[in-house]
Amino acid sequence: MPRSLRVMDQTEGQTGAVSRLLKAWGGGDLQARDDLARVVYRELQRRAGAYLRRERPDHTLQPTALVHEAFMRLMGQDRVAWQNRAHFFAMAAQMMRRILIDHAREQQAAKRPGAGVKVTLDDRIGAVQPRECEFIALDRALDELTRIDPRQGQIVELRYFGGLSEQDIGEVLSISRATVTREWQTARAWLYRRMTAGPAGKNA
Amino acid sequence: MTPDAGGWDRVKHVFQSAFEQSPDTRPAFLDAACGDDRSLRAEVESLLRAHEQAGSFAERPAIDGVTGRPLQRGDRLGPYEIVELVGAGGMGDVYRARDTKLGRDVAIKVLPPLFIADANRLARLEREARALASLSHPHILTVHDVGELDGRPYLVTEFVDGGTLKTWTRSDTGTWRHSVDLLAGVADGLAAAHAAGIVHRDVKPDNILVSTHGYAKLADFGLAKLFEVPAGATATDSEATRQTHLGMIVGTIAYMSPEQAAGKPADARSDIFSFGVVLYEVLSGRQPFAGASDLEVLQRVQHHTPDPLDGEIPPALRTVVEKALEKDPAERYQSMRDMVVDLRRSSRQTAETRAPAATRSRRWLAVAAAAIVLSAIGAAGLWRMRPATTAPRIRSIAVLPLQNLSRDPDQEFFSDGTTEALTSNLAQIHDLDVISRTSVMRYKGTSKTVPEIGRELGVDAIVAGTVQRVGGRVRITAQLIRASTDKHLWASEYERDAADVLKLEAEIARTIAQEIQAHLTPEETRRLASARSINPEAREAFLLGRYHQFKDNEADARQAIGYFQRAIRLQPNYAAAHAGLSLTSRFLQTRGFTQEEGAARTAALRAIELDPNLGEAHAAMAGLKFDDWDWTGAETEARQAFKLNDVHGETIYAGVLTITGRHAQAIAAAEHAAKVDPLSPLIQSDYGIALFFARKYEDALSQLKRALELEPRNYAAILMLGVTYGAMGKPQEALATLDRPEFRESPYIARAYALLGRRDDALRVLNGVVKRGGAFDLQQVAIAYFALGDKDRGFEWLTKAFDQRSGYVPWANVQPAFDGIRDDPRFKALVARLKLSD
Repeated sequence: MPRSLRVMDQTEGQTGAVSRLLKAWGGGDLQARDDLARVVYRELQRRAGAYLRRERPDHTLQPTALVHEAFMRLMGQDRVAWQNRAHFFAMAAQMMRRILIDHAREQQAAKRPGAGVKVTLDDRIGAVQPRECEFIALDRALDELTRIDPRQGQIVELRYFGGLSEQDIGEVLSISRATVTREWQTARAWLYRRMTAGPAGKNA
Repeated sequence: MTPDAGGWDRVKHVFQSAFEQSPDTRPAFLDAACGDDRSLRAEVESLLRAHEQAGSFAERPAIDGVTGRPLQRGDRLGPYEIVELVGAGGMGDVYRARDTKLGRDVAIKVLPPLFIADANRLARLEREARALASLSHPHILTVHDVGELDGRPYLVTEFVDGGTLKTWTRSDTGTWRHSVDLLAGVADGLAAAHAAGIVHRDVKPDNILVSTHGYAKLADFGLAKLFEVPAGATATDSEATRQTHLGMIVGTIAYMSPEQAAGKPADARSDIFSFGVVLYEVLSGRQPFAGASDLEVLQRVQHHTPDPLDGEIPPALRTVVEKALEKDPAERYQSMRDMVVDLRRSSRQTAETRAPAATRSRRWLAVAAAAIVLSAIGAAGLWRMRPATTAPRIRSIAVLPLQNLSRDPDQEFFSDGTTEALTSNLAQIHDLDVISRTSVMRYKGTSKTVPEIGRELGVDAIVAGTVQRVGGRVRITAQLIRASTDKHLWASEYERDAADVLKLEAEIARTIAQEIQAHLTPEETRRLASARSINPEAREAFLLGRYHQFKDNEADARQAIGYFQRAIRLQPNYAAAHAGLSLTSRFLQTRGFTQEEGAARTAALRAIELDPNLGEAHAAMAGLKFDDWDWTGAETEARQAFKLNDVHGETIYAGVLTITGRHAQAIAAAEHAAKVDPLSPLIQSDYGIALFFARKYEDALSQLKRALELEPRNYAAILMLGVTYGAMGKPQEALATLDRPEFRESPYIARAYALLGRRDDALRVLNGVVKRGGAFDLQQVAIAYFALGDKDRGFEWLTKAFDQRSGYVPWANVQPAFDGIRDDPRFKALVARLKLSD
């Protein structure tokens, strides 16, 4: 597929490479997939990191649009076959999940008493709420869910971590939007139950 | 047991199908789908339950939750659309938002995240919010809604434009009185909450919002509790949450009670202590237990006796603060209510001795601002300065246009309607002169001071306030200010269902009457107590009709009629709408815009039937009877309207008195109307007209000139000035007055020419008038011919005028211009038609 001549900024070289990698992956080249994953991860981390460190006071970018924006940036204006596009989003959502969970682990290490970090007398009570724990718990629960229902696991990943709309998810997975909604509701109920059931969850 | 993959498919299928069933049909569906498979059924039901409880769990993408990213302009939480971040603090971020459903501004406080398992805490917060809402206390921040966003609870509250007491303390240089005034309302709010069994637990300056107008509200009830250690937490959890807990209280340790500092449970007396700390700080400008470190502060809270407040603070007030700050809860005030009583008493005992002059200029000068101010002094009527016995009684009052706070300019008519309703309610109190609507409307958005306005309107006191309509609710603030001293006598804030707005307006009027100790007759009291409920839509239509009614042109009048009719359709027993319909129909009729008759009459009759005490209904009827030349009927109705202080009724009453030669009474009525409507050009010229027919020409001149000053194009005032100069034998002045485009070809100027001996000019104008025809007062043509000495022509036109009941014909018998023909049998015959002696 011809590369657009209009893409002339510093990403030019990269966009072409990403398109090629995607295409190669689409053709079954697993090395291409791994290479692509590295590129996508770097790109997402660079952007998401700014949010996670609250370095973007301007808020010109919606965090939820990160995956889309990474796609735009990495692909430039290349036309990408929809299968490849789907692959990209699935991978990007997975990368986002990794980035967010890594971030949560770091935060948790920094906040937990006994981890060598002094708990400061901070009137921001939210700062010491184990929000990060919950994240990690969700991550684990999602792994469990993926084992019994891979498609639901992927839907959760795309939606919750990737920030994709149900419409987009339907396109990525080639299923109807109604199915996405139904599966998402089920997955969400399952995850909620799993997470509120306690460490030895009664249904586990 | 987590079912294996095959089992899961089945669970999933049944769950998803069950999910699509309505809750009623679900059990039957599950019976059929699960049959005897109990574990399948349990699994599906447990998932359904989880779904119900999950709330917004995981609904928003993870990154938003992780970053706790600030909400952005345009983000939506239910019906609320974020406008901007207005503050961030320990207890979460506060946004200004727009309630798109109810069209009002709200504040949204997004709290730090909670454990998922603590959903019941949110429910408790909601319960407390509901309990507080039922108190509907003006000094407690109203919580509209409680919700959850990705594990972060949020509160939707009323929006207070201003800061917190923290910033106020820093910036304000007010006196101790000012501070006590500001906080007495908050104290009362706290007392009311305690009485309802709700303890705040975190009273501090950060939680006391102070509007830009100096009105204080206590916020964040129960939030502290929300973040306490949950019961039954595991050992590790409790360690983590105790840290959390400690973290939370640290920000506020300066205001903690000793028992809170010792980790003991806090009851209402703990709030009393915290409030005492706030009071101490506001009065002295320093914290009572300040220390170099948090530990030192905690130490001091528990053991240190604060330095006494300085000598400027009255001893009684010092005692109140000291009693609140007793270390032992048993030694403190045992109820907030007791403290409020002492606080008010201590402040009142020394009231008047030290006026809050320092803050005066800052607070009250511009009326535009004053109109929206709810004075801290009179906060919600919870505290008020009784008019000192030496202060002069208030006998006249003006309700300034209430400011529309709805932000929607279309709601302007609604606030205007409330202004008018308050005006007319107060006007019904005979002991009180109330400036009418047309005169006060000029002060909309004025920058004049209260004393200036008081002088211009000649009133003792001013009522100012705000109106905000929020969906089905109406919020009104009102305050009473003595005009001469600019002193606030009373203030209050009300929020009611829109359907009860009439009752509310009557209640406010009644309260104001009590405040100024106006004498209410039993009838007036009964009437103010009997306001009925109203369909808000009907009221809206009525107010829109009212808005168009006074525009003095055909198109608006027709629109007004449409709105009044709509109001009546929606609420057939709406007396004021019937009266409005009648008055407007009559306007169209008398101006010749319609030949349609009967509508005005039917509506007036219905209005009176529905509400015999509606002044306007009687005024409408009086006008119709006047048109009928039914003088007795007109007088009865007009007197009734006059009694009910309807200003239009009064002018009609003055008219009837004038034409029947009772000039002294006529002048009295017209003068009173002019007094209560000092800025209405028409009412002012009506007074001049009464003086003219009483032949008090000098007085008439000065009154008509005043009317002309108000409105240089005041048609009636100009022509009556010309007529008056004529009657005074000053035709030159008459000519000079009438030498304007609108009168140059009129019978009035013809008469002036005639009196000056300029016969040809007079005839030229008269011939033109006669030839052109059109709408003019036929009687004036007759008067011009009489001035020319042409009695035959004069009687010819006077007869025509009587036949057509033209213009000022009813005044013929008292018309000075007819003095020369008064004995003429033809004149007597014509005047007899008026049946004035009946």
